[in-house]
Amino acid sequence: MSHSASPLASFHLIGDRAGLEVAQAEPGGFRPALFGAYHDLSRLRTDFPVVLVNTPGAAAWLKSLSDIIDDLLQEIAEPGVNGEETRRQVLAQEQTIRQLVAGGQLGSLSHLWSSAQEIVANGNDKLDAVLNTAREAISIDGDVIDFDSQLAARLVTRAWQESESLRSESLQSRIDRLAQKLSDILKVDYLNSAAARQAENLESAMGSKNQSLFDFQAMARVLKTAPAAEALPEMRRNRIKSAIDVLESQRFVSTATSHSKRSDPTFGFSFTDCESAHEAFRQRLPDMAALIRAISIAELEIENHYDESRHDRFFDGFDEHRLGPRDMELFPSYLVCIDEADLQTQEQILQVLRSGLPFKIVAQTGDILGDDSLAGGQLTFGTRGQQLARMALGIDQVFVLQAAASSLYHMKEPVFDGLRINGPALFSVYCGAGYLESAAATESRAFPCFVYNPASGPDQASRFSLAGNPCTDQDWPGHALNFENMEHDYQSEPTAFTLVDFIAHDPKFSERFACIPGTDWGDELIAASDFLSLSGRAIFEKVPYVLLIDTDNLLYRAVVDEKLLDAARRCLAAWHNLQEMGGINNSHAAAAVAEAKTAWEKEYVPPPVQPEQPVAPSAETAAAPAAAAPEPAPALEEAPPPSSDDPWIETIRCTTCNECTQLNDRMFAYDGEKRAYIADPDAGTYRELVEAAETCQVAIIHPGKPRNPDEPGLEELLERAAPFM
Amino acid sequence: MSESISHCMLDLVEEEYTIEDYQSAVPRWCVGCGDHGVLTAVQRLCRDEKLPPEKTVFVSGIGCSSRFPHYLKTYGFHGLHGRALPIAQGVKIKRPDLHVFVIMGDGDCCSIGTAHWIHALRYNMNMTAIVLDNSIYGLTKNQASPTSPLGQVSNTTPKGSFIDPLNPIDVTLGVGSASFVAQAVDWIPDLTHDIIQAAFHHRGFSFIRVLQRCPEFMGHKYDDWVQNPDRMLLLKHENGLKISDELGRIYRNQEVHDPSQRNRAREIAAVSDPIPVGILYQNPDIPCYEDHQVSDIMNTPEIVDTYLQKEFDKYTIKPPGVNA
Repeated sequence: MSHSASPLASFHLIGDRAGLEVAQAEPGGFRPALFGAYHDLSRLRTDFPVVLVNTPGAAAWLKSLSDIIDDLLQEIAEPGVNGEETRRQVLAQEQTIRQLVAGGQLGSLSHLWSSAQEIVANGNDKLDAVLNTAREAISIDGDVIDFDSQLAARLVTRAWQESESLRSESLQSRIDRLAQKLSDILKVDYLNSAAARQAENLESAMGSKNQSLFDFQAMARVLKTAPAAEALPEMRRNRIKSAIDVLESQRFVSTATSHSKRSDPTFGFSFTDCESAHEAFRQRLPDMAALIRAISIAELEIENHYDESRHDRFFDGFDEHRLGPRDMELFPSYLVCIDEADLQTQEQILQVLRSGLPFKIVAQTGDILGDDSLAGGQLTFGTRGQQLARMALGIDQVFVLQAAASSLYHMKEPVFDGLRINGPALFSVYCGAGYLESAAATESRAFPCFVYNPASGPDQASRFSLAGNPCTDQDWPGHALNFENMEHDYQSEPTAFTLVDFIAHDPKFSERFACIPGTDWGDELIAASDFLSLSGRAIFEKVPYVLLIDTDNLLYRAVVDEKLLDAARRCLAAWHNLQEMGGINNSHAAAAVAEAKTAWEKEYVPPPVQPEQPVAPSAETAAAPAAAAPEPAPALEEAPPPSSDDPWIETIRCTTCNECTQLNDRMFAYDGEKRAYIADPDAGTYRELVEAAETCQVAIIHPGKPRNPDEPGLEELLERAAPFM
Repeated sequence: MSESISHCMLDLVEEEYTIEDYQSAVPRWCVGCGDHGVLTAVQRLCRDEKLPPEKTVFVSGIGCSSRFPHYLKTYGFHGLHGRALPIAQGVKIKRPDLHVFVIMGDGDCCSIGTAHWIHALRYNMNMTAIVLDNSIYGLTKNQASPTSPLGQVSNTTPKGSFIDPLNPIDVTLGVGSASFVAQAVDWIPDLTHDIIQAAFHHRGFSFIRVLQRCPEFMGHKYDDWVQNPDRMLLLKHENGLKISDELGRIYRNQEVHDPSQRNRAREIAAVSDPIPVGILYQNPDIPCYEDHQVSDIMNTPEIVDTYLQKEFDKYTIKPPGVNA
């Protein structure tokens, strides 16, 4: 063992630097080796800046600058060599816009484009022309925002506005329609009244031209003789009036009717803390109940289905206690954007989410690692940031999205889904100091992406998604690190990006790393990702390191303090848990597969080789039953009459022609289906029966035998009755 | 949701209608007229489908047939000669939520109203049209109609008519977008009811021709067919009419005919002996005119005003006294 082993181990286990020759650097001088390729972000085309599109009718509410430029280059630049110049010029324009935004300039896309064009074209007319063509190819406009602490709030707010406009549109048109129809009822009632038929009203209804051509007094006199329609009952009129009042004065959405008539502004639904949002909701409950009540009454009244004896009781007692989840779907949801979700705020957030009410909460956190010392009363170093979202998952009917702000652009679909569903939603976001740090948080599993959407299906498989994380089937994402080794040869080493690497970027924890220069690397050093899978004696024989670089891009192996590895273990366990939820290495699934496999192996017997069987005689047996299908409806004769002597009618064939009923309406009557039958065979003479039989156009009356043997002319009548027997 | 509140309220209230609820005046049709049977069938349909009387409209033209709306206690429109269909289409455009029935006679539909008939078939608006075909002008007392048979003696054809009659269902099947064509006869009231019911449920323009007796002027035209059930051809199919056992015992001449087969329908329609009864053609996929026409925008006075002003803005108005 070289003499530097025990100082390394003692640093690793107890943080003691004594005896170590370590490279020193200013705080922040070391950073993870894999960051080496990303030292100048301004030269990279990332998802940011993005444009919050506010062009009406645009297909997307959010588009990144890179996507916009790519799309327009597809349109205006020819593929191949010819379009190369245009492409380069437009990309230079994009670069300028990026620099302006990075420099803090704000504004809309069109505004920034003009500023950048001035700089890039700089008087060159040809370049100006190209950029103008490019500008025309962009059909959208909106505010440009860059990666900063406001990004998440602004992005989600924009999405929320978009989803709310969809939701409130239907409520708006419904309220408009109901108010209009109710006013129509009152208007018709007025027009039917005597007051509307007075000469003055007729004159004013005529309009200003040609009034002299009419004699309104005469018109009023004529209308006086017209039948008066019934006026609306007072109670009904009042009910309709109060429903119209509620519909027109509601403050939840702005409608065409409310625009002109109301002075109070619509309610606001955007807040910066949970308390006030929840309080506002509670205060508006009576208004919500009143609106639902007015809408229901309106719908019943419009169809004239309102029945006072039944409905009064219900609507009199209708208040906020009767509101249910389907009613909530009608109303706008509440957006709460929280800048820094500390522990106390987290409690409030969970309370609101538990309520099941439509609150959409954006909770941003800047510290996802936590405190590395127990003195603070927390043993959560490394996983503190994930706690809020993981607890929200436990509430089950809450939409939960956890993502670093750098991922928000390509997670814009799930973000929109969360806002669109009816019910609470949590967006737990980590913004970090910059784009790189934010992305590194996801990469290192310190703040993995996940989406839980309770509305997308009945089971975990359809609801939970780990999309957005790199290498979801592995513990840590692996990358190839290219460097020049001590012999000045290029070498590529597969390197994992672990939580420990992520912690290394934070100067707060620089004391936990001891950087060893390349000359002193020994065998006992092992990559932290590999160290984590060691067990037993091996742990005491090896010392973990991560690869760091300094400002001159010199590579070091940095021995890490045991505390950091504790954090990494905690983080890895959390990640494994998420993987299982996402269906990767799911222990239940694995157990089920193993069980099925053992069961199958037990029962599986290779089929024995059998001699050829003759063709089964099943074909012959099948033919026999088929041939025996009997003729349908054995009883084909006319149904026998109830008794051959009584008169009867084939009622089902009656055509309601009134012939027989006109003849004798006591003997022949109509049943409930307006078909004739013999009501009373003694209510008339046999002669009437025969006459009816003769005039019946479908010949369904059967006179039977005469009931009164003394009736005159029976012989002739029987002869006439013969064809109807 | 509030929608379900008002619907719940409605479900709690069970509306039951009887035939009497739909009966208005006592019909003054002749005793033995086939119109009575159709009236009964329609009243039974209204009762069975629980049609609210205030949501049902019967539109008619002129003739004995067109007295129909007077005898139903629903909304009705007894219109001009031959113009039942355009009036009904106007009702449907303005109030697509109403159930619209059109009752015409053979003169109203096939004589003066022919143009409207063809185009109503094309437009395929969702309504049920019933032609009460007694092959004569009855109300005006005995003139030949387009469906009167060859040789029919009437006031306008004293030497007997010498023009072949037209066959309304044949003509209807020739119009491309006709979506429901059926024929019924007044002496088999059960099938008449079933056909009208199927027509009511069909979404589109349903055309039914009912062959019926005029006891006054054409009393014996159909005697042979009434007395010989085998001269009737009943069309049945699982997608069409179902014939009950009792009826099947009497009318044994049946054919299984798939209502989607237009060519076979045309062949059947062309033959008048045996008389085919049933649904000859049905196609539920032909779009209805009102589906394209109805917009989401509500017709408020403000909107009407806006659009009117926009139209007026296209013209300049010269003040009086100014020359062009």
